[in-house]
Formats: sequence, C-alpha cells, structure tokens
Amino acid sequence: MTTGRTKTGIAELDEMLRGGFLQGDAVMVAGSAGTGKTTLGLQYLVNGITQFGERGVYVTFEQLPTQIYRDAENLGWDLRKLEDQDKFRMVCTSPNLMLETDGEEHVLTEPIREVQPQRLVVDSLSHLEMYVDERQLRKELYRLIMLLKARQLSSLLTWEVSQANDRPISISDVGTTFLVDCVLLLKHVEIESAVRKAMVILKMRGSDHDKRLREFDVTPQGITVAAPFSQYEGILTGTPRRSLTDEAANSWASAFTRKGQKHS
Amino acid sequence: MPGPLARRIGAVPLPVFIGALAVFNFILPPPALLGPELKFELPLLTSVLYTVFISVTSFLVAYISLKSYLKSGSTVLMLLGSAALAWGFAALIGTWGTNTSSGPNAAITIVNTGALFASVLHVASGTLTSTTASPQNGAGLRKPLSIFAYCGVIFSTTVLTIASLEGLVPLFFAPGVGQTPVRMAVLGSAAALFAVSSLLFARLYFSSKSPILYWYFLALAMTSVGLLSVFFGRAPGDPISWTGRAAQFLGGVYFLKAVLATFREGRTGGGARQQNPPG
Repeated sequence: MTTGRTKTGIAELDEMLRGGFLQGDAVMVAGSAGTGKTTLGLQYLVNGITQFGERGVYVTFEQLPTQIYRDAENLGWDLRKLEDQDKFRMVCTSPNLMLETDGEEHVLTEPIREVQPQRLVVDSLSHLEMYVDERQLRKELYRLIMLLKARQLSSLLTWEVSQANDRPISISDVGTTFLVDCVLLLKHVEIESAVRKAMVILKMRGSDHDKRLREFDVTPQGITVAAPFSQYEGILTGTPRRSLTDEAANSWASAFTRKGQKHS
Repeated sequence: MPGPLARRIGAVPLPVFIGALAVFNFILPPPALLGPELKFELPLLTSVLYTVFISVTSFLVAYISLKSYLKSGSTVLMLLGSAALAWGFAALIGTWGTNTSSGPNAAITIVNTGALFASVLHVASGTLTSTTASPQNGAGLRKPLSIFAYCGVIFSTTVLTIASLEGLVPLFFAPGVGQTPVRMAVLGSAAALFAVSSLLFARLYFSSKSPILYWYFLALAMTSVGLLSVFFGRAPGDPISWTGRAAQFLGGVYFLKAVLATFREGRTGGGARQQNPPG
C-alpha cells in the first residue's frame, strides 16, 4: 500500500519532508512567539486549496477573524474569497468549548460538513492548557487527534513554547510530541548579533526526512526556506558557533590570499 | 604569528640540515669505498615514514586547501591543494605500490616526478600570491574545477605509475650504476622550484606574519633541502640519504604545523582578523 503525501506547497519544506507530510497525519508545529506558526498554518491551508485542490479549516483560539483576514491579505491570501467559494472555513472559538463533552464534534462538525476539508489547522493547542491540568490536557489532545484522524484530516496543530525551553527534549511537558506523528520545530536563533529563524523536523513517523536545521524567513509571500545552517554548530543549544573546519578553511584562505582578488 | 621561541626553534633545523649535508659530503668516502656499515635501507620502514610524514600531512594540506577553495574560489588555493595532493599521492604510490623485483627505479621515478609536479604547482600558487589580483572562480565553477584538478592529479600519477612499471619512462635509477641524468634533471628542478616557492611564500609571510605561512614556507624549504641531498648521496641508505629524508619528514611535520595553526586561528577568529589588518 502506498501512502500519499500532503504537500505544504513550500518547495524546500516539502523536500525536507521527502514529498510532504504523510496523508492523515497529525503534525505539531512548535515554536515560540513570532516564529511564524500562524503564517505556516495559513500557508499550508491556502496552498492546499490553490495548488492541490484540498479544502481546509482553520480553528483559532487566539486571534479574532478580522485580524487573521487582514494579516493573510498582507501575505496576498484572500481568505474571504476562499470562504465564499466554500473551500475554506475559519472557526474562531474558545478553548473551553472544545473541552466540553463532545466539544470538538460540536465545534468542527458544521465547517467540516460545509467544506469537506482534507486539511485542518488548530492554532494553537497551547491555549487548552489554561483550562485543564496537564494529565487532563494529554487526554483531551489524544481525543482531538483521534477525532481528526478518524475524519482522515491532515492536521497541523501549533504549540507555543517559550524561547528558553524550545529544545528538542522539552517542547512540551505534557507529552504532546508522543501523540502526534510529526514534529516541526521553529526557532529563533541568535547568530552574529542578529536574530534569525531556523526550522528542523524533530520527528516524522513512517518516513525519512531531512535532519538538518534549515534557515527560513517570513516574507511578504509567506514562509521561504533557505539553506541548512551548515557553517554553524550548536544552534539548538542556543550557543551557535561556526564549525571549526569552516573557521580553519577561512583562516587558510585568508593566510594565502591576502591580496586583492579578481573574479573570473 | 608564532611565538618567538617556536619561531627560533622552527627555523633552526634548516641550517642544521644544510650543515649536516655539507659535513657528510666532506667526510664520507666515495661510493666505491663506502662500507656496508654506513648503509641502512629497510624498504618497509621507508614506506611507513614516507606515508606518515609526507603522504598524510600532504593530504591534510590538500583537504584544508580544497575546503578553503570551495569557500573562497581562489585559484591560489586550488593550486596549493593540487600540489600537496601530487606530492602526497606520489609518495604513497611510489613507496607502497611499486615494490617490484625490477628494483627501485619505478618508485624513484614516481616520487621524483611527483615532487617536480608538486613544485611546479607550488611555484604557480606562490607566484599568484604575489600578483596584485589573484584569479577567483565563481561559486558554480568551484566544485567541478576542484574535482577536475584533484582527479587530474590522481589520474596523471596513476598513469605515470603504470608507465614506469611498464618501462615506458626513461630510467631514473639503474641498479649498479646509480642515478641517471634524467633523475638529476627532474630532481634538481624540483628542489630548485621548491626553494623558489618557499621564497615566494616567505615573502608573503613577512608581509602578514601569519603562523600558517611561517610553517608552510619552512616546510617547502625543508622539502627542497631534502630533495637536494640526493645529489650528494653515495648510496641508498647512507647518512646523506637519511639526512635528506629526515629533512623531508621534518618538512611534513611543518606542513602539519601549518594546518594545526589554521585550526588554532580558526578557534580564536584569527582568520577574520587577518582579513582586515589594522591600517
């Protein structure tokens, strides 16, 4: 049996994922504030609709729809138009509604019936933490993820982590990383006195994937992924430094080529 | 810049080796009168020493030069890396791959020709460092050019090896007769060119005071002295021969010192500082 891929539409990210997320998988996008989780979630849905004909639902706990429409418009995505075409739905709700008995069903049934989505984004799961204790949260997340899987939705669930704690071993204290199939970590990194953004796939069940840290940026066209941080070591530890061999190569070149260079 | 003590100690062996060669040349009897007690030749030992002190250290230079070239695109570095590869690969093949019953001619041919090839490339590299603007290749060309250069060195050395074993190259060494004029010409040119390249890099060192260049130009000078010793040797394995080999091996140690200085500079950011010298 072959498993299809759900492409993000971001070519370099799909390449990192060896073609895209596995269809029907629950994907966690973890990162601190401002790393681009919401943008990635929206881009995943918009690209799904415009490039792959896959409809999507966006569930938000943290922003008002007007804000999201506006921000998406700045990135060139007309969400209202997509809603009018019944290809997209935005659900702005309170986390406690999701936590009621059969809350997910109540919140999601209508949009799912209306647009028949293949993709769904929940932004962000971290808000559920405000209403339940850790043990209960794990149960609720399990329930939600199972519901999404039962409906064969390729879901992308954002999770906020503090910048100080966004190391691979401590993304969440409630074990959410064990519940999901794929974990994509977005991180701010300070390199040479500038804040840059890095992404890495920490986990992808049932598939090979790129293990390297890749630089990315949030541009007016959405997220663009650049080359791996091949010249740096220790980025995840928070103390990046250029790799020793690269530094040595620079010193060697510098020693032997101190005069002006002529390009050919 | 190396510390004063390291600098003094590093430069001392050069006149010592030159002096030792002069002394041995003065006191040793002519070849016909040289007794067996003054000859020590163990092929396995020679092969191991050449591999450790010449091949391994040259490969390290070739590696760091390749990495630097891929980053900077400077032709100086590609020539330097090719030179080191030629020297190291010829020493490796010459000493291990040519233990034939026909005698040492093939090994001598390969090592000496490799030395000439390496010295020519070193001079080319050193000459480019003294031009006001050395050529630099664009990012897209670097990988194919470096593959072409390094593979070319390996290919030409391999071809030379086969040709020597098949007797297609003029004799460098005839058992019972000794070295031929061809060898003298090749080796003499190689020694002279190593000396020239040493001077070229020394000139660069005196303007930059980089410890990398300090050890590098001394390594080239030691190699030159080592090759030159062959002209005075009475027989393989005599004291002059071992003095020359020791000079070449110390040259290998200095190549290694240059590479280690690179890593030390890399750790302290010295390379970056050098790119923007004060004033």
